[in-house]
Amino acid sequence: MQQNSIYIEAMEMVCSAGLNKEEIFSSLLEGKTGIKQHSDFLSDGTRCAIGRIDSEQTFNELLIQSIQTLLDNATLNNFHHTFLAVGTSVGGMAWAENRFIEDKGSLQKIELKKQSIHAIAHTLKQAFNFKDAITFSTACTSSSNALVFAKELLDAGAYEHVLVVGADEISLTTVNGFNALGVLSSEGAKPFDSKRTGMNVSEGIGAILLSHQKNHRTSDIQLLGTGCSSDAHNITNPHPDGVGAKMAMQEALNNAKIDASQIDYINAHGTGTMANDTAEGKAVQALFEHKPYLGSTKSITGHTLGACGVIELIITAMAMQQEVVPANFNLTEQELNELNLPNKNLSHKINYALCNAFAFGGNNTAIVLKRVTHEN
Amino acid sequence: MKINLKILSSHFVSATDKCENLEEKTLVPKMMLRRRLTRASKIAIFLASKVGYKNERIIFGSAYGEAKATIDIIESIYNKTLLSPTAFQNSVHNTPVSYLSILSENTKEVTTVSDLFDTSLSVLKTGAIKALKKDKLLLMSVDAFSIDKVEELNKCKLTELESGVAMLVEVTQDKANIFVENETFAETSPSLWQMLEIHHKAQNTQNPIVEIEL
Repeated sequence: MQQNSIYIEAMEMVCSAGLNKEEIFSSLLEGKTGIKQHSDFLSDGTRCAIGRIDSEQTFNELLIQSIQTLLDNATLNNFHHTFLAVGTSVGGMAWAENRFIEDKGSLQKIELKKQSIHAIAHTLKQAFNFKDAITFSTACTSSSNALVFAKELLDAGAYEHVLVVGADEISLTTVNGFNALGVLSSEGAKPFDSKRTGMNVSEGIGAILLSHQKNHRTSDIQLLGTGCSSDAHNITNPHPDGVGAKMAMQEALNNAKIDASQIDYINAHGTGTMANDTAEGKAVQALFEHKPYLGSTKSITGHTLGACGVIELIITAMAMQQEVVPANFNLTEQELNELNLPNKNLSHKINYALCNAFAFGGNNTAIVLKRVTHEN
Repeated sequence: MKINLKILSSHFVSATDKCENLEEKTLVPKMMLRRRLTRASKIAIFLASKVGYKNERIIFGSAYGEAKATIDIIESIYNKTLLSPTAFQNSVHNTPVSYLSILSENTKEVTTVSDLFDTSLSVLKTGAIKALKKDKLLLMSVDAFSIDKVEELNKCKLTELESGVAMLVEVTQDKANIFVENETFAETSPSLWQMLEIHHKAQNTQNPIVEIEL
């Protein structure tokens, strides 16, 4: 298998914290959260804190617009020779819910191409004519698994360019579902805080174009390594000691051929639920003795479910390019004192970073990024 | 790019309503876990046992996912009744292979793809690339939609409402003797067709090797 370097050639994102990557990153640095209280999502009418994209445009319009913006900033003229790897946990669920309610509980008018997990890829293939596409759906690790596959495709030399898209629209199913599990917060999430109250379901779109091509900017971001594991423990709860999370991170380090001590910053999955943050924190403590900076950006963006892998990889890449470690917004009293959780933005050169994503069924992924300056 | 996969074993199961004799009591001795399993999970666990799965990495495919849990949730929201946490936790596409990994204590990579009628082709392509690491892989595609409102959804008029196909594979440099020719199997979900075609051809081929084109 070939092992040429893989770079982020272009990227774009949209979520409740902003309508493009620059806006979202500014929101992160300014502590401007996209999470708001809504009373029209839970069946019983109670309020919950969720992240909706603040736009007049439909989710599909935003999806196509984001990919067009990315294409405009790439070296490509079109995607006719590009592979599309999509990650989504719900696909066209929100569309299907609307049809079901409009048709008074009938499934007759549900169209598979618009309702299914494949709906995102279907929309993008129609708009941009990709050479081929595969959709990954592993709940909250969906787009991370798409990234893992993209690296494997490029490593194998099967494609010159792979576009990875993570996209999940907010739906009644996910908001009410996480509420039924007792993990939905009525306020902004406080990842890693001892008094955290749960997660904020949010919507988002993230897109990353990967290729072997350097950008010739001040610094390039290289996708260096990936790791995947399964907890083999419980269908919803992570292993309490983060055993699976640790395995995925170790595998990503091995794949990147670097030592744990080289990691400067970890963008945590950090959902704000009691179970996730304790398990992830313990895994980080066990693996990284040098206490790298650790942060969750979900208090600003919310948990964008299947899209979070790509969105948080973009955030991490921007933090590396701009040499800043984003603060852990909403964190006042950390649960695990050994973790290095900055509560204000820090100017810091990040040469190696790690991005975690974990999901239902104990599905774990970790991805290592490297900052390449043109001096080296 | 073409990658050849050696088919080490394969198995197919289907039924007009529900697959019988999935050996749940033997394969899932713990009653609590057995009771939580979805139909697709039971089929996945059965197929894994039939192909001699021994904690390999898994690439799973499903076009429709957990149809029963999905519809139960949407009806519960529409009718403003209490939503079942079990229905929600069982509603994601990787539910069957998550249960399989828990049951078999498999801590390796498990991934799930979903591309409507190309789902099993996506399983094969994903498997072909991942097989370059030179370990054995379990490839599997399952769709189970024997549910109350099936007549409203079954626009293709499929007669087999539950079906699944699985194979253990590994990469090989040897010449292929099986090629995907997009055969159709009218009674079975199109989401399984490409893997089903390979399974049938492998049954009649000595040392079966399939060529996967990416």
